[in-house]
Amino acid sequence: MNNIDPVIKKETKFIALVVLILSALMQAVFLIIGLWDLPVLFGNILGGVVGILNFFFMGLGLQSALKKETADAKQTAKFSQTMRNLMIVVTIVIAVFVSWFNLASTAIAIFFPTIGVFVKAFVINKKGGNKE
Amino acid sequence: MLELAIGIILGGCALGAGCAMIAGIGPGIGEGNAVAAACEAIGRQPECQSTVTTTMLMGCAVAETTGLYALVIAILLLFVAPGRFVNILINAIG
Repeated sequence: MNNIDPVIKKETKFIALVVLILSALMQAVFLIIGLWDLPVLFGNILGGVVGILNFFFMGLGLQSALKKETADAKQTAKFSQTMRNLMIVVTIVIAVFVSWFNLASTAIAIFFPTIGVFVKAFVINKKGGNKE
Repeated sequence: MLELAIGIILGGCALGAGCAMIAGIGPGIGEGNAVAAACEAIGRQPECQSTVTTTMLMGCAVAETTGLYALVIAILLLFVAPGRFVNILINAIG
């Protein structure tokens, strides 16, 4: 745990916060349109956790890739992406076949980190660049 | 005749899923290139590692989005769509 780059920890915390906010928003929308039930909540939790883990593992994969030579770094990044895609495939298949999880809320929640990244990019651009 | 129609539906869904996954090629190559470029940048200016890592992380996350979209669509086409389409077909026949 100590080997993890502080940048990755910081970004993952930000993404987790965005996922939490967007999840609450999605639950509210489901509640308002009258489609809320427990599988929606469980699906949201599953999708959100997998989305955050996907981002975190991407950071870890890239961190280890940065310590290698250029050719090896490419291979490490591709391997990391394959494994993370496999994780998402398993998650969606679970959401399809297990009735405890709502497929729509799971699939939507997986994309919440992407929205977080766009928000971050927008905030950084608004401030006039990353001043680190 | 019904079997043929169901076969065409299943084949169409499988083909669609395969075509959707073509979009998965781009993010893999793009992410690899981004990491390679970041390695070179850090090699040249090690003091910028934090900035380069943050920018690369965000860039990779954005690049990966299209791959994720394609992956989810492909899985839905494989596991969800055939059942729905076959149900619609059977209801239409009556």
